Amino acid sequence: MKRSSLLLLLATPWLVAATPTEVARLDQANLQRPTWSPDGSRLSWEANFHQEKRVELYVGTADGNGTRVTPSGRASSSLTAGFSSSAGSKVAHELTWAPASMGAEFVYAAANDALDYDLYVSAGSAIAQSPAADGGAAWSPDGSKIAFTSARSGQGDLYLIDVSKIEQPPRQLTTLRTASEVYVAWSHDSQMLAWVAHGKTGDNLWLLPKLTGSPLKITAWAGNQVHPVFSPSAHQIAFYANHEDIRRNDLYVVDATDGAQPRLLVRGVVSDANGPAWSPDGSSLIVVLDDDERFDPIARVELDSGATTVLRFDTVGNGDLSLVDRDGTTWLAWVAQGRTNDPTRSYDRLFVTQLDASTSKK
Amino acid sequence: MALWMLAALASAAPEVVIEADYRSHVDQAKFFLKKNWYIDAEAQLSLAVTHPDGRLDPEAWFLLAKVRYELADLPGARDAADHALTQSRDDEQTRQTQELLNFLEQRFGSLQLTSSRAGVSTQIDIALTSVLLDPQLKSYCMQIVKSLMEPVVLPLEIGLPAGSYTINDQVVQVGSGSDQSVPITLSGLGLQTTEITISGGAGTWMGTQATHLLPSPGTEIGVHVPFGTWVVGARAGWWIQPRDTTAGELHWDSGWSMGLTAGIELPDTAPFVIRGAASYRIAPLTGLRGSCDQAGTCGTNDGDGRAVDVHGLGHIPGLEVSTGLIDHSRAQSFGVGMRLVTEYAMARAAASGTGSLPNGESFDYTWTEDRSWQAPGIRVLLDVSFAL
Repeated sequence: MKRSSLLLLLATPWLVAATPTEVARLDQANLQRPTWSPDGSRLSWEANFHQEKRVELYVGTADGNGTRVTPSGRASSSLTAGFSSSAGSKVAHELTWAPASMGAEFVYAAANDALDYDLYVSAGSAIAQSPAADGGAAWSPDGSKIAFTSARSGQGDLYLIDVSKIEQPPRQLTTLRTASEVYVAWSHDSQMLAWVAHGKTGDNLWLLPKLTGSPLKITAWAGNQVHPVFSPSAHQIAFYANHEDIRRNDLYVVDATDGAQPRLLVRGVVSDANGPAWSPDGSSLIVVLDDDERFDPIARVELDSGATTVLRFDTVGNGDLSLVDRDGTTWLAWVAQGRTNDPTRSYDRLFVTQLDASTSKK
Repeated sequence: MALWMLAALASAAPEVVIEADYRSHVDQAKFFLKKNWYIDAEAQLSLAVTHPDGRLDPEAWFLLAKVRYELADLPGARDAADHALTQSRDDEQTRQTQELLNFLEQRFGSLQLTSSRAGVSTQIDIALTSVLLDPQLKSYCMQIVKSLMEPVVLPLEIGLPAGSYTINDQVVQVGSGSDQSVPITLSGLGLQTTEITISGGAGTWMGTQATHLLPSPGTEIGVHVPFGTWVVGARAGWWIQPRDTTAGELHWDSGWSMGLTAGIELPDTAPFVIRGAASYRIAPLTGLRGSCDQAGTCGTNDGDGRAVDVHGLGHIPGLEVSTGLIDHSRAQSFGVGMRLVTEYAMARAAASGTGSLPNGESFDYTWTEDRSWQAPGIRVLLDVSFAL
């Protein structure tokens, strides 16, 4: 190890954390996007078979016992075609959980026989079907609505499904002609939506303070401002941005109000698919530092001060963090290429760990 | 060769009957499905699977299961899916039919809607009270709700997606794969199957006090409604009562009757209706015969006095058995039947009044002795009824 790295290691406050447990791996596939259910009783993850251009979705428990999720065959079989000739969906991904009060329900996106994408509910049929691609769904914390991105009206607009009237067409929320609206996220009180408008001039954050109101532009930077995630307890949004340096992603947080200025927390983080992971009490964020010498370690960033503490896990090539509070204990799920002492590290595997009490202040 | 011989030969040739291939029914069904004509498609597929080859075709059964599901016929869909699974010829067909059958069996529960009396027609008001996340299941549910807004005849089997409902204001929990009976409380005043009956027949009184009375024809009209397990009704009739006079002449009187019945219909006898009932009616009875002296004092004892026929108001309890044929699978239908009534009439001659002498003359009388008159009777009637 280089002396500079050793000094850096000694200088960085450590926290003793529980030993991560590897719970799942698949040959020939990178596991990705682990997502805890709101009560922590279930865990979903994806298996990306890059060579075959296939993504499988799994739902299971924290010990890695999962069942593959596939769209209901009756949704893809035409009534007049009799038996379906489709070999089944090649891509199923982007799972969003319903609140715990609704049981272990979820929505995900999957490719159908027509090779476009529809949203599917748990073991049921497609919802809000249209001939265009739908995806990036987010279930509101109160369970009443599902927001998602759809290409049905052009290049990608946000739509809203009323769960109590799920059989009815969704309501269009955005109509930006110059951008595609993606990465939609709900505030903890289900009142606000944040998303990224992806356009030719860059990707920037937008906010809808009320579902019946007008959207506000939160950032107006060059580059990519992506993966907004609301705080679990306040109207604050954490996101990744590379407007300072296109080669580097930084962690920002901004108040969800008109005119608020984003605040830089940490420079050099990995922009993973799940976005910044808020601690359950909203006082800190768990991110992956973009640090090759330390093999992209997982770190805790204090919201108020920006102080960064590396969590001493022996996994390397970390990404896709998901945090949940389960019966007063904070659990972390993520993917990593393996452990530091693994003889070989190839495909990403799934790890879980219980965070130490000192790292999960309430 | 003579033409007649040719004709004879032609007629002797065996007829060749070409049966439609079952696949033509399947193709026709697919055409109907493109137009969303599900009822017509179901008819064609039903024909297909009754064909000797068609009943072995998994695709015909598979399509039939899905069409029946679209028609909200869950029992029929399950049956067809089960046949499709049995006939599946490869792993993929087996997988798809098993998935469909699992869906039909595990996402729904079966309910047997019953009433206290079979054949009751009523509206079923179903409201979903839990959240149903599957749009297809929700559409199915809404279709069932809509179809039951028209009166249906109970008992009735339906399938509902698993969830919570109120059915005619009762809270009902439908579990996946469940099978339960739900008694339906009838809305309104229980006027669910009103039956109007027009009857015609004849009866006769028997016994020593009725020897002069001849069989009497008559007609009735009645209305019956169910109340719980009972069927209660009211009747009104008009009767002709012929009688022999002591002079050997034939006279007749006519009169009305009014009455009530209460009975029970035997269950599980469809399409026949077998009903037993108790009845009570009142009717002015004519031909109560007395023997009077010249002064007009009369009694029932035989004597040397004049025979006189007087009137009295009769109270007539009875028992009856009726049997008929009526189609309860329809909300409205006609029926025919027969009814046998045994009765016992109890009347009292008026204390004084005007009677009839054998020669038809009127005669003022005063009845001093026992004025009671009693006689058993029997009536046989033909009923024509209309249930609505």
